[in-house]
Amino acid sequence: MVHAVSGARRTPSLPEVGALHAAVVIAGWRRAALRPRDAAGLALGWLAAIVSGSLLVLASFAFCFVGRTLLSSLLDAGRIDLAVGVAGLLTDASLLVAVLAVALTDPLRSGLDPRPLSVLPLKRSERLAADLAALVFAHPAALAFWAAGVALFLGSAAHRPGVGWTMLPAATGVVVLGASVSLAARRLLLLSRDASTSRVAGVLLRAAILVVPSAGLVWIGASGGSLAQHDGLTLTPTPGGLVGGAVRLAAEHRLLAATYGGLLHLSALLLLASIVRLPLSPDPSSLSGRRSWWPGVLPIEAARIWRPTRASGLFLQGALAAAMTVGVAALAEPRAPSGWPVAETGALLAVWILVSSVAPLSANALGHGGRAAASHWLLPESLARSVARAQAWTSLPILAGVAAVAAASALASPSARIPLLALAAGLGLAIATAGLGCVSSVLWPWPSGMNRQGDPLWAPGPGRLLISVGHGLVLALAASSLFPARETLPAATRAAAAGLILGLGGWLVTLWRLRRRRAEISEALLR
Amino acid sequence: MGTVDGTTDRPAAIRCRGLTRRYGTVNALDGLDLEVPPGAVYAVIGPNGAGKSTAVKVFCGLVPFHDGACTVLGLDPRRDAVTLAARIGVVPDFPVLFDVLSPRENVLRLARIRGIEGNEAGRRLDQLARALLADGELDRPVAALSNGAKRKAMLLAAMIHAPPLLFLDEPFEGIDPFSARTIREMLERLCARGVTVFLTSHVLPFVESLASHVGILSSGRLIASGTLDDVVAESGSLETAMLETLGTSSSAPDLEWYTP
Repeated sequence: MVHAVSGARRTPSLPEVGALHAAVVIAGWRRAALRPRDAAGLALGWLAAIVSGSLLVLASFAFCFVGRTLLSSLLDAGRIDLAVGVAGLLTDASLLVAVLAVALTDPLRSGLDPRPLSVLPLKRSERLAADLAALVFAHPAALAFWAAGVALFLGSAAHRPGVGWTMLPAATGVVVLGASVSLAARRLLLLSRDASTSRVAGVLLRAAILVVPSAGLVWIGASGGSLAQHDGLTLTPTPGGLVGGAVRLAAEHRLLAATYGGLLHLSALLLLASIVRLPLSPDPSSLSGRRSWWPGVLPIEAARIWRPTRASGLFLQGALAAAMTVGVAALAEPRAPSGWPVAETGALLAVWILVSSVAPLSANALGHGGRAAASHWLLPESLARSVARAQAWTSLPILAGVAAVAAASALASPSARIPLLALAAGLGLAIATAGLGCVSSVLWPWPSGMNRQGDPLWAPGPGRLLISVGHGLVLALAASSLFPARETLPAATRAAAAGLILGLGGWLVTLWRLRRRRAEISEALLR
Repeated sequence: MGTVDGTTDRPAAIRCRGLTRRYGTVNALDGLDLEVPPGAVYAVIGPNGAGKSTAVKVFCGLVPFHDGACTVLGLDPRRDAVTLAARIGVVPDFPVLFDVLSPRENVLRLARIRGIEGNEAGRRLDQLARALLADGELDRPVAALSNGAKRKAMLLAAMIHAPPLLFLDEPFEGIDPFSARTIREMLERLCARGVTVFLTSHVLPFVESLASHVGILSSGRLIASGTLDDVVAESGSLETAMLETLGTSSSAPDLEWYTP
């Protein structure tokens, strides 16, 4: 009988889909470890997998432990205001890290490739639930929001078990909301790679669908804030604000804290209700292709730079360490003798940690970005087009520099100085990396560490030295803000200006070298 | 457009009228009218960009159509995509197996999602793999397989739940002649039992030896359709029939500059 279903049935198959996701994640690790053929390479592969995995788990544990200890200590000491702030920061930071981790992972390589599931008889809600489960339990992003959720529960329970139980809804809410936000980020990434929605407007429209519950989330947060203000509290309209409110209410033994946790769950539900309306498999075959417009290319290129585990592991470790340093400095400042530059020292230390940890990533960006830019410039047929493109590219760092200077002028108040300094130094480093990356790629376009497939994307040795010098220069200028010169020239302006000069210099040197050695460089880049 | 000779009184496996699918301003399918009788091997041929793969994706419910009407096994691919997915097997033009898993892991897990009991799925897989895959290929990660082996592994996944309708987009692409012959014989036997096969291919000799019905697609429209004998009758071969139907003559340049 032709139309009879033979041997197949429609089943509620969530456990099976979950098991498939788990198998894919485990196989991904196994394959990453077993890729090298020889015994030494195999051993190194295992070692690298174990070390990078352990680093991520360790960082997550450290994040959780520090959060738990801070929260319980502050509650024990009766510093409720600070405990509220720590809980809020912990939540917002974990959500941000979770979204970044998803955004920097190639969706097709993270064990969550939607294409194999697209031909299976699964309802939208089933696939959404399977994806959500995979993000909660299998994706590295989960380490961020689990750490925050567990820290909130254990920290408040260590203060008093009753407080811990009252905080449980908020703690689990952080996990569920974190996974939902990560899922939303991933869906948007996939949509941005769909050929049929290759016009920006299409993706923006779909993004707007997601904004509806996000706006609801902000509204709920704001309402929570108003409610809390009515109760004598002040909260920010973010999930962290809600969690902070829950901590205060829980510390005062008020069961209303559980309601705040419930609001987080409700926000996650609203978000999921929006995501389920998005097309699951826009056009599966289009997902594998590269798009020429930036929203589609950005995650792919970011993933290529991010992928080598050493680079991403070190960066995550450094980002967490830097965040903790800033947090500890901010907590210590009120107790320090007046005149001690505790916050400034903390900020500089954090920048130094970030610069050290970002070095391998910068080297990747340097090798990859520079190579891509040089290749791009070699393709145009006429010099006029080349110059026009160069102008377009150089306008970006100029705009960034102008924006930084404008921000420095607008926010030159003492309270805004520290984050602004970090922002400007970071901006300067990014611009310097781009420019110096271009230089190194045209000066040394045949790095031995770069394989034929283009990854891992380690920069050439001299290029790594160049980027270190550039970073050092920008950092030194930023650090000089601690000395008397800061009165005459804001440090933020100097750091951004240094990056701008290095970046512009890099692009100019690149243009000059390209004109002189076009054929030779073309050949090297195409090898 | 020609008409299809119905071979049975049963309802058509695929029927569409005025089917249109747009990508931006391009009509990948432009008012497609098509009818595939049950138990037929219906091959769609045509130049690159004719809309063959889009037709497969639209019929399978993988991408929606914009205008027209379509039923596949009596179901609307837009409205009943989930039910339809349970009743068809697809080898599309994109990978549907997880790279890091072996074909065995992929197929058994996908079979489990489709509700096939483990031992039965294992028995079917062994039988299929013995016919199509070389030693060791069943347990190697998909990423480590050749392109041909990947296509064959996708075919295993498409057939494991014994669907009454198979969609095969370029099933012979990258496949060696021995495996191609095995696939052809396997499909012939299945069709004799009432299974319908809708395939696209550029390998015209295989189409001639396998298909019962042929449709020639160009710019999203079916410009000829019928039984293989009807389409080939006057031209003598499918290749000639296609070239004549499309009205294309040889335009190979001389390349006078190409001298060793």
